[in-house]
Amino acid sequence: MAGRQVTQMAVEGRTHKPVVDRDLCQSCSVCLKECPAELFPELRSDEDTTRGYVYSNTDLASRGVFPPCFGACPLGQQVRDYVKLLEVGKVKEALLVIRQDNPLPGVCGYVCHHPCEQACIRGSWDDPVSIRELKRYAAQYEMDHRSVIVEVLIQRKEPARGKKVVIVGAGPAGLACGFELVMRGYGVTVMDALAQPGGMLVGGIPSFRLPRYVVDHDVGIIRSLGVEFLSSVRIGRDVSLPEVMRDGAEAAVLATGAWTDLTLDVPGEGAKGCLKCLDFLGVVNTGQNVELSGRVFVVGGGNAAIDTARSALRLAAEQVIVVYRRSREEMPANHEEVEAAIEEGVEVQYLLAPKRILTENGRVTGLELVRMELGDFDETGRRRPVPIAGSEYIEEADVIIPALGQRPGVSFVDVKAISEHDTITRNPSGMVPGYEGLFAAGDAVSGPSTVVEAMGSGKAVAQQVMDYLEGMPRR
Amino acid sequence: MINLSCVREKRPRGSRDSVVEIDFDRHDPLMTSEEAQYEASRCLGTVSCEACDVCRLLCPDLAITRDSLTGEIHIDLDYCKGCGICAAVCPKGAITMVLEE
Repeated sequence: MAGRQVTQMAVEGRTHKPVVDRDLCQSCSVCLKECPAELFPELRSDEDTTRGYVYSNTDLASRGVFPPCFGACPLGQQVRDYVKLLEVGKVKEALLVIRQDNPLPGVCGYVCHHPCEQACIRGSWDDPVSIRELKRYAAQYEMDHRSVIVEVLIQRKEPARGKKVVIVGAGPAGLACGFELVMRGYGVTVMDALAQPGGMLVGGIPSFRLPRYVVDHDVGIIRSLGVEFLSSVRIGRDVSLPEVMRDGAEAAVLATGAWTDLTLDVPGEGAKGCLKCLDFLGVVNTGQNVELSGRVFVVGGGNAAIDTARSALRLAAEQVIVVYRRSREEMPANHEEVEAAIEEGVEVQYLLAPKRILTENGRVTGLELVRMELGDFDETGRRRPVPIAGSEYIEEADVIIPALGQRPGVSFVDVKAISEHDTITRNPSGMVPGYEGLFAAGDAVSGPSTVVEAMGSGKAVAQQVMDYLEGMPRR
Repeated sequence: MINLSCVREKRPRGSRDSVVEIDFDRHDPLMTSEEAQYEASRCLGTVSCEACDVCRLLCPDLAITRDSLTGEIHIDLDYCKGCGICAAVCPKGAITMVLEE
């Protein structure tokens, strides 16, 4: 960094003078290590200002890393820096700060579950800063000034190292990993089973939450940095794992995500009218016309369940009811998504579990539900739902969509490398045991998570791939 | 693939009459630049050097002062010997040493 160059002290008088560049000086970050407000507590206890109020009413010790938005982000973004650049209207500079850590700013601007906002200490005064909205605003600048950003990113690219990495899966984890590696100077090929890159971003998340042009733009930037995309290649079907490894690549990353729906395991599940959540979302998202009507029941409380319910409502279903076996507090779906769904007319019923699907001539006619109550805490820290005996009742239903969650479905990997949760195991260096130079990232490792967590995983694995490749003697 | 032919004849619209028909791809409009600047200004982080007094504390010649009203850092070049400590410690690299004419 230019500012850190210190010349030797001049013997005769002064040779240099310090100049403060206010454009560069954003916020000092020194509080990350040695907070000056520790030296000057009046900065934080000034009752006349918002800052004084918030700081004196916030338990900073329990917040961990400071600033908390930075600590909460799985990508470790310099949130405060870019927010402060946006305050003074420097959108391009803010975007370049975002770009340092985030390969998909547009996507995150729409669908990130924003742990930064939950952590924001402004939230203890009024509302947290709408960081995601601000990122969406900045990402729009990128879409309007694409060539400027690509130019800067190409300048940031490290010189080519002449090594190639294959990534299986073009979802958030695969894209983040590919972006990191291409920026470090590796040749990257990303293969994906779908016709277009994006993974869950195009096949799982409905377009009313994430417009497709945003995905196309972010993927387009990664493509213009030199990442090659192979579409409609499914590992295990079109290409086997050893073929991926042999294909002139020094390392491979499995970022195949979690694409297998969990099943209800109740009688009548195979009946017509009982759909699979990801199949349904996939058909809706690829723009195929789906006729759906009548009373639709969605079982589950995650984001996929809410997405399914909102999609079904848009497809002119008469009534959409989400049933969840725990209560609102335990619901894993984003709070604001649930709010939006209810606002649109989705009915959400809590403490209910399906017991049996009623069928007639192989077609769904109804759903038997049983009321639940919350019992002891289980290993996930949530209260375990317990059925209330004798509380069963029957609801009329035309379509039932179980959206209970997903598991990775990684049968193409050796069984020794699959955990009991059906995820890929890794050793501490990130490699899949039993394979040389094969890494794994994202939901395939962690089980279903969020976009930004998958991206964080992809980024971390990119670093491990680099450690591995640079430790390896050149051929 | 999904077969939805199972769906029975449509029931008369009942429960959804009160709900406005939803556009499939409805999105909230983006922030305007004024809204973005206002929202960003709510962040309690500091925009310039005001909260960081590191250079001022470490200056051996006490040449750096801080305006108590604006919080701006001022370097009094009459007292500065050009040692470069401030440039070295500035966590943002915002101080650069430039050759004097």
